[in-house]
Amino acid sequence: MNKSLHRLRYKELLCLLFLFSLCILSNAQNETKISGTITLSRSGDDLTGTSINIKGKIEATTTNSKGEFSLNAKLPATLVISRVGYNPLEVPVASTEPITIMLSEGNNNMNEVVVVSYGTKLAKDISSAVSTFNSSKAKDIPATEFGQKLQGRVSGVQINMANGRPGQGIDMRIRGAASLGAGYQPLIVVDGQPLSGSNSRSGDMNVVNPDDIETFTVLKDAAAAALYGARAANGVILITTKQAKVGRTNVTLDAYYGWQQVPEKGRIGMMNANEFATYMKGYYEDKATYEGYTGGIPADYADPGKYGEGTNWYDALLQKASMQNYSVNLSSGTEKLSSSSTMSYFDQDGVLANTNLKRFSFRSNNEYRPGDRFKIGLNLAPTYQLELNTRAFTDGNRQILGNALAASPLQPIYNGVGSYNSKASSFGMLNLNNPVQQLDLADANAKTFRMLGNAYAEFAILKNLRFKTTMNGDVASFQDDRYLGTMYGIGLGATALPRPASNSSASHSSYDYTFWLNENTLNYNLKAGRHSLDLLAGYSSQKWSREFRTINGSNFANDAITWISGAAVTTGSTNKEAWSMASYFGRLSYDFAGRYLLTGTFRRDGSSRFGPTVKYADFPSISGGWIISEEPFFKQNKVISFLKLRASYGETGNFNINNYTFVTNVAATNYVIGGALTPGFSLSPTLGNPQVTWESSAQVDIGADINFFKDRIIFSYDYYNKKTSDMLYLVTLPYQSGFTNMQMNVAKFKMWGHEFQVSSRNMVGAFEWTTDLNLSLLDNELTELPPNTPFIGNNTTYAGFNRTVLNGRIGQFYGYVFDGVYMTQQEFNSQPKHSTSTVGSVRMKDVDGNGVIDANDRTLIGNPNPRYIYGIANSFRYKNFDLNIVCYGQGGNQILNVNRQDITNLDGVMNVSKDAINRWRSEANPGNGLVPRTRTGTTELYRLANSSWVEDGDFFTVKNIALGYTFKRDLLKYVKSARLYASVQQPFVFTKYSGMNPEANATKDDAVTAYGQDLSTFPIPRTFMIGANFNF
Amino acid sequence: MKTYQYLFGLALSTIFICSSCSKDFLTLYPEGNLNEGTFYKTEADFQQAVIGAYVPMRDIANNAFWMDEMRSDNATYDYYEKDRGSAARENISTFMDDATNGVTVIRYQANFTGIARTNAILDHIESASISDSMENQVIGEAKALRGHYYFDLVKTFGGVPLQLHEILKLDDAYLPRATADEVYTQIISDLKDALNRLPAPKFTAAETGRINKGVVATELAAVYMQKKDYASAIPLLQSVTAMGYNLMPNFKDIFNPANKNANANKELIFDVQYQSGTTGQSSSFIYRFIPNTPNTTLFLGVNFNVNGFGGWDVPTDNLIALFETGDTRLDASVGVAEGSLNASQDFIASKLVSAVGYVAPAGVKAKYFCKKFYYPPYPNLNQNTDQNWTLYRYADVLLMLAECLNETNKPGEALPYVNQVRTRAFGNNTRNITTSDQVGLRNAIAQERRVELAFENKRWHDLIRTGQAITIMNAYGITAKAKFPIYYPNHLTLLKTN
Repeated sequence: MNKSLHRLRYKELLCLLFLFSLCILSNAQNETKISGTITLSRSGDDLTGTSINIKGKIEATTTNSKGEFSLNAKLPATLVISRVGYNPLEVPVASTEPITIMLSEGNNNMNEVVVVSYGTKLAKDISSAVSTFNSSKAKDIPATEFGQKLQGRVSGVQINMANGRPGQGIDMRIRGAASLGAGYQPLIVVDGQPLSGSNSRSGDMNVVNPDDIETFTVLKDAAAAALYGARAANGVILITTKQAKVGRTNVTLDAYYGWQQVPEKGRIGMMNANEFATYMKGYYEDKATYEGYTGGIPADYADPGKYGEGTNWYDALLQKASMQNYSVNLSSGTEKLSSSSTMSYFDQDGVLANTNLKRFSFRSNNEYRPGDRFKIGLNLAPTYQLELNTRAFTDGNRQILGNALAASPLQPIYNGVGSYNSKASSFGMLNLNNPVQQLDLADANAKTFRMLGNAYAEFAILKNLRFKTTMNGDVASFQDDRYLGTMYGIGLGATALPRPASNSSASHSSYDYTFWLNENTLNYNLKAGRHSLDLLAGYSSQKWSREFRTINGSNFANDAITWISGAAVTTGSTNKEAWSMASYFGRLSYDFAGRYLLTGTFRRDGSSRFGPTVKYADFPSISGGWIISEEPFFKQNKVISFLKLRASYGETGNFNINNYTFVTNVAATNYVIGGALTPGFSLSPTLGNPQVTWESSAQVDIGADINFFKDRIIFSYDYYNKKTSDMLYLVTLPYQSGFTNMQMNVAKFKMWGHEFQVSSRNMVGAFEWTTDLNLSLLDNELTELPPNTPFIGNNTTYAGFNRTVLNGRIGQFYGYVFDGVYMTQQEFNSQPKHSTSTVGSVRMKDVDGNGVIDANDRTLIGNPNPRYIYGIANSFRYKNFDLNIVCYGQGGNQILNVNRQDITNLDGVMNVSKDAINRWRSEANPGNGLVPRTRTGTTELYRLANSSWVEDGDFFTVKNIALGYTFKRDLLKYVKSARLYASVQQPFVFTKYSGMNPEANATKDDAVTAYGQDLSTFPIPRTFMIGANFNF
Repeated sequence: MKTYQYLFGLALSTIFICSSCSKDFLTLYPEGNLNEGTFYKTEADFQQAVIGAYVPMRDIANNAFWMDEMRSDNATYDYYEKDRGSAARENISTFMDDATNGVTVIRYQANFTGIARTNAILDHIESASISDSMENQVIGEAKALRGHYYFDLVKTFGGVPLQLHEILKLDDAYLPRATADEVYTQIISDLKDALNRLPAPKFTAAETGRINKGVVATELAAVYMQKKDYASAIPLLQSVTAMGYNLMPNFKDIFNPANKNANANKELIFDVQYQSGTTGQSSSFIYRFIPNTPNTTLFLGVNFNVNGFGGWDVPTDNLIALFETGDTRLDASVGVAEGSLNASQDFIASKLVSAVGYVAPAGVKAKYFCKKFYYPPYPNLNQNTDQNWTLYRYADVLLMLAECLNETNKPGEALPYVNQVRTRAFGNNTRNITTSDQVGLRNAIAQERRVELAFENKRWHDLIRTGQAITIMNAYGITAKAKFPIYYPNHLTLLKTN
């Protein structure tokens, strides 16, 4: 029944579109041709691309390479001439005489057209917190993910390169967004289409080709984002892709090639062969002295002097990796049709050997405008991405990178020529297999095919009333295949190689999802005297569904067949999940005299994820602005050229929970009766909650936009305070319930901060210098805990490193407080002890003061949330040279160096960090007081989470330096313009953090259970790159 | 033309239709699962729900030996220095566990998972229309299971919350802890009801694993014994002896998976059922019990790495010394693997030898292991065996009955039951017990239980039940500490239990 209803609706939508295409209206009569030339005040600028609109009409054109334009209009008309970086002009035209006009340079950002929710607006008319960034400013930054281009550019947006996995490193957080179990990633909207993803959270942004992007708009406060109400609680990033400019035909070719290399700084200092043999010799000497060990010093370690550096396993995994990107764009625009198509090929090797990402992407954006009352558009963007070993085996807990740290430096990589020495452990160590061999043989392949498409039709029903309908689709297919053959052996204590073939296994996981969104909006605007009114009303419906499957095979006969067809035992399963949403929304914007701005929005969202009685929630917002500089009493002055105050309040929602939590599932739970498999069913561990509903955030924003010195300096400030209540949280149920958890609306959380953004044209003229600077101060606090929940976080010994407590910041580090070593028997006797303590073992603080050290002495030991984030971008231009330097920094946070969990293991079973040489060995030889002894049974406490893992996380990174040279046009015959550039990505990282990457974060999009941890992170390379842009 | 009008009409109504259908549009239920609203309707639903309620017994069996054997003087563990991730299990053995211990939690949780499943059945069946005979069977099994789970809880954790209804809202999940007596009252009430509803054992293969009157009578007797109400236990146990159960002729055949079905083995009363293969029903006990080694070929006939997985439930000297000469149960219960350490200091076994009279030759690394559930060869599937886990068997009933009779001052009546068990163990009746002294017989029965039921998760509960735990374990701790200096920690004090 449901299905047929939906099928019907598809049909209706198609009919609607069809009808619109029939409604081609004849062109208005009495049009005449207007033409002219627009020149620019700054010499050297390409004259192409100045846009000319006829006021009040859809029609628009842009100038050609000589600055010429022409278009048809009914006289008299007013031309609106605009160009980024120049002051706009309105020119009344009454005759067909060609006009010649020079645009003068300006920095008047306030007249830029900004893409906002469901439309565009002049920047000066915006009364909420919105930041924009033009992608062309970051065209020299090599990027697998668009977030790399945005890093450091926008206040309030924390973007971290959490790891160096090709295509998976970027972690984004707007205004310190956080939720208790629903992620913090912002909603990404591409050309009006909210991205979905493979999971139930916000969209997978990875597959958007950075080359396609023209502008970013970051909607930060609730009033800006409220029209995306349901999914906007973490902020919204609107992406506009490249559209063709009317009157221009362009072919551009962009290419770059780069070399990526891992810097020396921050590599973990493990012992070399000589040091490790010395350490292990001492280990066995102590074992003999204290534990009655009689085995003698093992031969491997008896003579440390015979070893030199030995094998540096970590370094051996790294490679100088190439990265290349080629992108061709063909765009052409006429008055009736504009079309832009981009095809790109991107290929990046990871800096770990045998890792790679390749992406083939295509995008075609087309718009047809048969008359001034109707337009129809069709955009299509397929992408195919191939990944090798970027999703398994390499980094993370005790995978290949971790194994390389643990491996014995005494073992060589190769036996003779080309054959691997499979064993990477020495006497008494956990068996470790050669990490280099493991990496070279690793076989995890992922393939993603994804297609974004949208079609729209816009129809002017009356002069000021427009109807727009869009149909968006996002379909993807993902497949991940892995083979673990006889030579697979990752992990500590792995089976020695080769394994019996029967131990081999392979896995396949794949999914397909489809997401469609239909939106219908009516837009009405009215201008009467000094009043102008803009009304929007809309209805949207969307549905996401995913079918997924896993197949596992085991007991392979040999390594010749790596597909599951070669397995003797095969198991598998398929399943499906889906969600749907229906929404009504509206907006009213009122502007009086260009001075007083008022906007109200309202959205009502219903979601299938919530129970029958609580599906819907309302998300209103209101914002107001006062452009003081337009007031008559505001005297024209040389200091302040523009001044606007704004304030907003709004509510946004979050529904990022699993599907179907409103009902208790009954799942197959089979048993054996009578020696035969007997089907059984039982309640699933998550107790259904029919009352679970939307999480809602209320946000206040107060801001000011001020331009100084004829717009030479642009300043903007925002204060925000966001309170989230009814937070969606899986409340852990006590074991006595027989259930594990229950999705509830509980707890309160608050975030607040200040944001400053300054843009300054320091020098103009032949030598140009502009600086963009942004700074965000931010903080957060949990103000109410869920019921019966003393804290949020995992309480287990080896994983519970983050804990959120009442009136504390989210996701703080939790562990023991390191207090050195019991140096003497006397000290040991007089101090509180753990049950495993002995003289020379680690001393943790007796935090609860009960005289005994135990799990209750763990406490909050650090904060992973940055307190300030800042970015500085400088660009210089002299004649044909341009130089851009982008820097990003953050601070006030700490990093939990979880690598220490393994590199401080003193059991003689793996390599240790260099400082273990300073360990306690006897009262006469007590070391530096920071590293305990190696005695069996006393060492575990030292490697549990403690304050010696916590390090200052402040950093300042020069993200990119790019130097470009633009060839003069008259020097080139076949090319309109050409530019060559060279850049360095990540040239300098200034930080006190001892590890490689101060931006590391073991788990992305989770501020609660594993935030700010550095655990065998895929290293971030420094990239040297050369590139060229040609325009034909 | 008509078609166009129709299309145009449709187009105009699109916007309005969207709102009218949105109620259905927003109603989505999982397709891959059933849900509470659609289940618990038919007889088949309830039968399947009962099957689901048996399943948590596996989680308990998979973890119980750490708590019920390794905590006692029967078993210890093969200290594997390189992997300290399993310290929680060792801590149970050395009485260093606390409330965060991951193993004890599993058992607590699994029991309550089972209880929640039976509660859901019992709450829903009241409003379901199913036949009386089916209702009897379903309620009988559900109550027997609920009693079983609560008995495991109260024995192990003392008083626990009495959750007797399905959880429907958050507050339901936070009932306060009941006293042990209140829990016992509930268990007895559930088991008595189940006893009335369930049929006697039929000893057919098809009924293997399913709860019947024999299971419930045995369990209820055990409950009474736990409360020292021996008189109430006696008639129940006597009824079990009349149900057709028998001892297997050979001790070593009892647990053989080849004899797992009720028609082939009348000694088994209640077993947690497993099945090897790819149905997700397999057990892996033997992988836990053989020593830590990177190569299992000698033990299992198939090669896997059990480093860090194996080495549990290792027989103690204390237990081995208790077997009398000629007792076939020693060889059936305890094995020895000889071998050496390789360069990684990992144990590589070279041969398996009998534990009877075994003394390790000089220079040979010998590892004792629990052999009671060792039935090679094994399928070439890692940690995937067919071995069931026995909860009650007839020899246990005989020893329970003997104990009850002795405790109720009828040692003479008790003797034949103990001696049935001994006769099988020694192959003849020459080693029968003859004492009629109540104290002497009490000790003899206790020792008999220890050797007969070693590694069957009875020992720790027997120590607690008979009030001997603290005395015996403190004495054992002193010898263990002397033998294993790795127990470095500055105390090995017994935590008070119960």
